[in-house]
Parts: sequence; structure tokens; C-alpha cells
Amino acid sequence: MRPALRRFGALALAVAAILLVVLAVRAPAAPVSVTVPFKPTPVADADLDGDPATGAWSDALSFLLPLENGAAAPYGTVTMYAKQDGTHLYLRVDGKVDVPWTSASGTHFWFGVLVSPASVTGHHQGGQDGVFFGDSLFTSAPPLFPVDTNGAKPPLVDPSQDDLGEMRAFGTSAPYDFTAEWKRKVDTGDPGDVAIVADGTTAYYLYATTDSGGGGSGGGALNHNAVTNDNVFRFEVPRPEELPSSSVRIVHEPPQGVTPGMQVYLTAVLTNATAAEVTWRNSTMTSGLGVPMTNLSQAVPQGGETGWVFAAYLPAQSSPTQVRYAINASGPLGFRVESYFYTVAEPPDAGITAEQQGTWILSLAASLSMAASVVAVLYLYVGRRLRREGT
Amino acid sequence: MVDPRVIHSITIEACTGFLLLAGAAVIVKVASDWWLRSLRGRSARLDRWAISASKFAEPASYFALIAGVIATFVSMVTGSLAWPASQLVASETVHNKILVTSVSQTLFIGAILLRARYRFEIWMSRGTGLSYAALVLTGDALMTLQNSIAGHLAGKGSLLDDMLHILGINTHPMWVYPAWASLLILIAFPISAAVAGLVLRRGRMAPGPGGAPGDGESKPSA
Repeated sequence: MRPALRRFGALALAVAAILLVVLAVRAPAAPVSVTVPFKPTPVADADLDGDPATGAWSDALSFLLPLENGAAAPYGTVTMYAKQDGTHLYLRVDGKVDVPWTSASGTHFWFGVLVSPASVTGHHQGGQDGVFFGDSLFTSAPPLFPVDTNGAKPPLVDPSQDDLGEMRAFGTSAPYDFTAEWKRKVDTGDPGDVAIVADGTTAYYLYATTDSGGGGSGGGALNHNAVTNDNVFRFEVPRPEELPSSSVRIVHEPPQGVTPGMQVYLTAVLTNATAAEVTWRNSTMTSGLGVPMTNLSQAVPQGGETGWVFAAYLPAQSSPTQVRYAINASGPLGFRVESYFYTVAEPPDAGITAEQQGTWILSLAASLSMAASVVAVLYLYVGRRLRREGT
Repeated sequence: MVDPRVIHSITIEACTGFLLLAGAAVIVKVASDWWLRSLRGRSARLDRWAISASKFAEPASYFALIAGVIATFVSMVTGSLAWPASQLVASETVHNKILVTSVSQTLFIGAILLRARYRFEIWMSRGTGLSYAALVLTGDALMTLQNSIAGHLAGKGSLLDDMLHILGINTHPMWVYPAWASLLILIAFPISAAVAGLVLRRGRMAPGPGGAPGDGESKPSA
């Protein structure tokens, strides 16, 4: 009996050990296939601030999303919240990372998402639409706004910035929590972006990842491209009848390419409105400021009705930021409020400066000189050695 | 029409394959020569293998080296056609790849010149054989690094990422020396090579022990 008992004990121990390993090491989540629901309640622009405690996210679809970094728990998976109201797509990601975002030269990390149509698969391909938070190639200091990029390799900043939101990291030791919240139009109208069709069937691939180990990040050990997860996203057909209705209509396109120091002139075509106001705030203001819009008395046909052009100036911003603003149009038949945003950023880096190019050419010449000198010495050495050995 | 990137991939596969074959053949040659010089007679079978390997590895490495260098020039052309010029000029990573490729190509061309000038006799001295092997293998190491950079350019990453991370090598920022260091290298290395050449030449001309010429050209070769 004793040997049998011993064998049983060893077997039980082995099974327990295997179970322990299986339970202790969480398997990374598999690629997901989700349909982003239509929800008429938007997330307010002010709540897209990287604070997970604020914002109307309770009706969003939430799920575990595997990251391309392929890292072990808790770094390889995030919780994503997603919903759309037919006009805007709202996304939030809660995750963990191994370093805080301190500065562009100190420890910092980035979180990025690439979206592609079903015809383009893979971790990082041409034709993809990206958004990056905290990548020091794009962002030199907090606040960590989303940077709209294209699918170039490495990604290039899109001239048209179409994402509003922010990412923040929390905590005092690893693993640090981070939350990224942002919205974009379902169809931004920018040919550099992927235009999403919310028909319940058209599929898109979404790839998300973090990086802290260098290349726009630093100080950590997360590499962004260890695995490829072909996450499939579809978008529920909107139900416009559930959206609040008003006879007042606003047609407006936010400005693009705004740089620090630039005053912004906003125009909007308003129908059935007699007065309008813009309420705006930048990322550091705690409340909005109101600016009245002036009716320019310019009529514009709007689908059988007559719209009127209204305009207002918004003040220049001294440094890079995101300005969120709402146009509140009112008339005898009611009112309508619509929110917009624009990004204030330094002009996109034109690439490598002439000075950097000169330094590089000098380095190239020095490296070639070094290699050629080594070859020349070897040539002479081999000749002498062979002659000395009489071969 | 075939996508230029596909053609570029093919040429990259060709030059990488040839140059790695050159490196592998050089390793085989060094190993078999070492066996024949140091351990010959210990095992008749291994002796035979070493003799056979030594015979085929040398020409194989030379052929692969020439083919690899030609294929690398072709891949430079296909690469410049496959990527938009604006991206090539603007990308720091591309600059790193150009720099590493230029240096490795210089080393490979140097190895071809050495082999063409001294033929297979380069292997008849242990020192010269090892120097030649070191030249080819250094070129291979740089080529591996340049292919890792290319993996980042293609957005696919690299199997070497973990190792590069441990070594603190970041392929994204542009690799440059400070300007003063570049100027110092530009001047000091050619001067050092010239001085080394003079020293070697003087050693060749100087009389050897007992008044015989050192190892000058007047010495009849064996």
C-alpha cells in the first residue's frame, strides 16, 4: 500500500502543481469579435479626460482586448469600452503599464490603436488609421492628447487631427494604471482616416498595443509588436429616431491645422436659429467661456430651408492643447447644442532638419572611413604575413 | 504590375541568403582548418570531413560573397523604388539602415578585394585566415542588425528586439556621432592606416636576422 500511496501522493502533487501554474499564469485573451452598440447618449467632451470616474460609459460595451505587446498579465490585456451614436465613436481603454509617464526624456510609455478595413490585416500596415497617446515622437509633455496618424512606417502625423480625448496614468509603483478616452467621427471625411460604415456587417480590424521599451517610449520593458491579434469590430446600425430631435440645425466643420498663437475664426450655417453662442474651453480650463456668434446675414440654402451664416472668433492658445467647444443655437422653435473640437499643435515635423542631415552625413563619412581604413590595414597585413610565411 | 515592395523583398532575401551563406562557409572553413591544424589524426572520419568541408567552403564563401554584394546593390535600387522618397528622407530609421548597410557593404567589398588579390592562399596562414573570417563575420553581424532595422521599418518588428533591448540599442532615433568625433575619425583612421602601412613596409624592407632581407619582395617565395 505504501508505494501505491506514494505514487498517488506524487500524482496529486503533480496535478496540483499544474493547476497552480494554470491558475497563476493567466492566458492572454484571444482576439475579440465585437459589435459596437448604438447608444444615443454621448460621452461629454469634458469627460474625455483620461479620468475613468467620469463620463457616460455605463451603457458602452466593455470587453477584454488583447494587446500586440503579447506581455504577460497584467500588461498584455486592457479593458475597452466602446459605443457610438451614429455620428461619433467613443472609446475608452483601462490598462496597466510598467512605467509612469514622467517626461519625454525620462520613463514614459505610449498606447496606440490601429484600425483597418477588412482588406488590410496585420499589426502595422499601410492603409491603416492610427491614434497614439504618449508617444514622445509626437508628444513632448503631458497632457497626453490623442495624435491622429496614418499607417506609414513609422506612423506619420495626419495633417487632419480628428481625435479628441486624453490619456492619464495613475499609481505610485508598477503596475501603473492608465486610462485613455477619446472620440472620433464615425466618418471623419478625412481621406487619411478609415471611414467606418455602421451597418452591422462591415468588419474592421483593430490592433491595440503599449510600448515602454524605447522608440517613442523608454524606461520599461514592454515591446509593442510581439504578437498579432486580428480583433474584428463591427458597428451597429444607428437608430436616429432615438436621438433628440430639434428643428434647429447646425452645419459646421471644425478648423484644422491650428497652431499656437493663431486666432480661430469659426463659421456655422444655422437653420431655424435666431441666436447662437459658442462655449469653449482648453485642456487646462476648468469651465467654459461663452462667445456670442454674429449673424453675417448670408443666406445658404439648406435642403429646402434657408440657413444663415453665423461666425465667432476664438482666442489664440499659447501652447499645444485641444479646444473643445459647443455651438448653442436657439430660435423660436427650440434650440440645439452640438459639440466639436480642434487640436492646437506645432506644425508637423518636416522630418529631419538640415543640421541633423549634415551631422548624419558626417557620421556616415566617418563610418565609411573607419571601415575602409580597417580593410586597407588588413590588406597590407595579409600581404606582409603571406610573404613572410613564404606562401 | 508587381508591387515594388515584393521585388524588394525578393532582393533582400537574395542578398541576405548569399551573405549569410558566405559567413556560414567561412565558419566551416575556419573550423575545418582548425581541426586539420590542431587535431588531425585523432579521428580518421573527422579528418576526411574536415578535408572535404575545407575544399568546398572556401569557393562557396567567395561565390556567395560576390553574389551577396551584387544582390545588395540591386536591393538598394529596389528599396528606393519601393518606398516614397519623402518617407525615406524623413525617417530616422531609414538613415540608420543606410548607415549600417554602407558600412557592412564596405566590409564585404573589402573581403572580396582581399580574396581576389591573395586568392585561396589567404587561408594558408592562421592569422590571415582569421582576419579574413573576422572581416566577413563582422559584415554579417552588421547585416543582421540592418535587417532588424528593416523589420522595424516594415512594421513587423524583429526577432532580435529583445536582444537589442538588453544591449540598449534603439533603432528608432538617428545614429550619429558628435560632429567633432566624426571629424576626428575622418582624419585619424586614414592617417593611422597610412602609418600602419609605412610600418609594415619598413618591416618588409628591413634586413632580417643575419643580414638577410626581412620579408621583402626580394625573398624568393616557397
